[in-house]
Amino acid sequence: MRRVVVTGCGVVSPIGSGKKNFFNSLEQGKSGIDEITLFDAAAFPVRIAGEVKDLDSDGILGIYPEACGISDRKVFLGLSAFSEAIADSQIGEETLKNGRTGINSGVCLEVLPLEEFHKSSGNLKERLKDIYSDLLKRGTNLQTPLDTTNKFIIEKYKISGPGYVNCSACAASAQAIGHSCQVIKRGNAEVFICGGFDSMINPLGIGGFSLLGALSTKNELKGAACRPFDVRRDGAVIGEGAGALVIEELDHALKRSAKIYCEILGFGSSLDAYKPTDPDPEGDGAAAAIGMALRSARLSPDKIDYINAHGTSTPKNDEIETKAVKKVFGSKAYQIPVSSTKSMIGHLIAASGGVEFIACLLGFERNLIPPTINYDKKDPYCDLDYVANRSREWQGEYILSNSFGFGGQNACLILKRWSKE
Amino acid sequence: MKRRVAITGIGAITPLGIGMEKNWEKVKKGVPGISKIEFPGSRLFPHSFAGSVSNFDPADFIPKKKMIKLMNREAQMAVSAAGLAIADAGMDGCYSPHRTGLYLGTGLTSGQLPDLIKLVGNSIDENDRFSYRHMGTEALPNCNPLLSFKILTNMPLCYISILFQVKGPNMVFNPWSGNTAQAIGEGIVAIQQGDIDCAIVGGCDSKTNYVGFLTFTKLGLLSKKGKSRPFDKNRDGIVLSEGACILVLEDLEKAESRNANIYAELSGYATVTDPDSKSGWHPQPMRGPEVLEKRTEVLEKTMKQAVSDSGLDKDGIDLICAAANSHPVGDLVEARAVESLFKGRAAPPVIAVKTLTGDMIAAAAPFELAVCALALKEGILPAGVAPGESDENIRLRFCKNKPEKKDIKTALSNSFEFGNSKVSLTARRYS
Repeated sequence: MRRVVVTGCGVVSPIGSGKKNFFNSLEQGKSGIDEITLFDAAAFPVRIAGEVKDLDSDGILGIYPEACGISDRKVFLGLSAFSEAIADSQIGEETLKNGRTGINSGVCLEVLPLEEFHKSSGNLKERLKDIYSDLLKRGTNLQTPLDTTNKFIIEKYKISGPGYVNCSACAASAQAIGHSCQVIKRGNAEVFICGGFDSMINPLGIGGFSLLGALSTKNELKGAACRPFDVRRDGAVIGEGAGALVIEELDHALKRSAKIYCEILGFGSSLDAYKPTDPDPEGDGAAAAIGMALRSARLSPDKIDYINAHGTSTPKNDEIETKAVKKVFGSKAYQIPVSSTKSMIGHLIAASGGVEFIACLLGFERNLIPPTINYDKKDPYCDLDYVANRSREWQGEYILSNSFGFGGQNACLILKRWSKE
Repeated sequence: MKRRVAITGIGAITPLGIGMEKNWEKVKKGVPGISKIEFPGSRLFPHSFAGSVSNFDPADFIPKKKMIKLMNREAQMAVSAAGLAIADAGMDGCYSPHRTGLYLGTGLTSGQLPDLIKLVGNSIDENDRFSYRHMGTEALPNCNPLLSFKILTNMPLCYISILFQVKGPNMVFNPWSGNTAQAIGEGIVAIQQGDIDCAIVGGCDSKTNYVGFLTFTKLGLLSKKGKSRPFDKNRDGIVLSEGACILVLEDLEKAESRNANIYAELSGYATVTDPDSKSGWHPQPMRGPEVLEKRTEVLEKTMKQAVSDSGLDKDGIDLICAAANSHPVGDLVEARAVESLFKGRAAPPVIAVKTLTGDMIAAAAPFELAVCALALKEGILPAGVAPGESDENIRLRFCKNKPEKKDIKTALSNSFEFGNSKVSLTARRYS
């Protein structure tokens, strides 16, 4: 059986970009949530989000000049993290183009630039007509296809192995990572560059999600608004960012003496098949994905030492996730530390699985697990150990990372501290 | 040992009709489904020829009226096609929901302007400018709160899972035909490896609207005359289209043991990334002879890998269902790759289904595979799915003007159109 290990990572997040900054902030329990500055949200019901403050757009344009003119921010977030991961892995140029390296990224949706619709007057119907002819005249680009980032990376590094664009909403990048492992394990590739990127911090993203009632409206709390598992939680806070990994077949990594961050041991994916608007209240879909990840890792549940939760801070998710964890782990659930890094960075939607995977690496790199910050008042329905407010020393071996997507797509990954045995 | 995979259900909603039976009748006889259509804003374009699905009412297929309202047109067609496919397979309750997988491809999905126009209209300020303030105070409070459902690219998959209780492994890819073909391939592999017993696979797309025409006009990819004529000397671009096609795949042994109707066996899958492809988002594809050669090599490699994955030799291929979508360069590159693959030997006959349907983009791959499956099952080469006037640079063998009885054992279906991902799938006659 082929084994898959992580040999490179790159991260762009609201609490700092680059592995080192990101780890430092996680360790300190920093919040990256603040007032929205990327557009004028003053009249919006939701005015806070986790923005990336240190994105080096000029640097990215230097490497990918073709990205000039692209207005979709997530493309830049993705290019930044994927480039960092490739550099971090020290993988050779030849390997990238030898046909045995693939790329697999998780993305969510296209951004429609509403601002483009400005020339119009008269009643709605006349306005519509004006808008139509105006857009056509100006040759406005309304769509940035979801494979844009992949395309730039593929063309720069001449990647010719399998290339995938996974659009499974909040489960997208966890699926992309898990799927890449499967492709390596079945022998169709040796190396994958995988992960995800997203930014929903735009008028339609923030507006649309706030209309769904999924977001916290406690704007005045800013960095304290996202409080997963706390009884006062009232919704998610949107964040943006990107998390990218270079993963390899074990022997391939050993042969080139690569630094190994961890092994990816298991992957599970399931569907709630419940309602478009709500997760399955019994948590069966989530439990099925965890169960499948454990089976694919050939691991018994009592081995798991830490759970990086989906933990969105919505009233429903956190309660249901707690229920699902108890279903799978039984009474042992109370002994497993469970934390939500979304408390610090917000919900990165399609990027969440990738960035949270890298948050898990803190456990192996610094022997620390990241906290759930803003945790103060216990919810009787959420009664596990949520690693409240302070990062904790940890010597464990196995980590479960959960991603439960909008629409009922669930994806879980199991990481193992690197050892050759 | 790999398990064998059977196609046991097909649900197709295309410009040729609703249901695979109607579709196959038209493909067999070479009856096209392209016409001049109207949509809000259509008169602004030089022409509005497209492949449009007519007489489609989602309420005929989806019992939950409320859910229909959440769906965009792509999702409505996908869910309806899934219903047709699952009914066709007749496998109600045969498999555990957790042992049934769901793998789909969806297209570019930015939301339709008629859905957004009220929001935009209410966001315009006194100076006729778009204003975030107005959006917050006037537009959002009066907006359909479930608008996001029409924009999220994964929703077709979620609706199918809910309505047909599919709970197993799943993935959804975006945005081109090759990506949908990958979804089919991943379903095949999951059954081959024994991870699941059954997979619902396929894709959906709709570009017969203002945003579709705007986007593809800007890219310079549309046929100026509105004619879809793959491999034809006068081809000058694609004709936009829409549709959905869903296939039910099963572990062949299990399908046999329940006496299922087996259309064909799926045996080979290959996906290769073209690192030089500029054909996706760039209006001017690279045409230099060196680049053409490289692109040809990639496609040839993709077909070779699929054939080898199926455990066959290329001489065993009896039919090629081309990806060709009437793009001047794309068709030429595919033709060269096929010629090169069969160098020195007679290449098998080639069909180009997009002659009839136009380019359904993310819905094309499963439909073309379904056409292969029926050609294999009935032993019929469809008529006229071939160019009218031949291009002297293309030396392929095309089908005759009428359907032809022929002993076809194996078919190769290509998805090479836009984007970097090039995919080939092979199907075998089941006996």
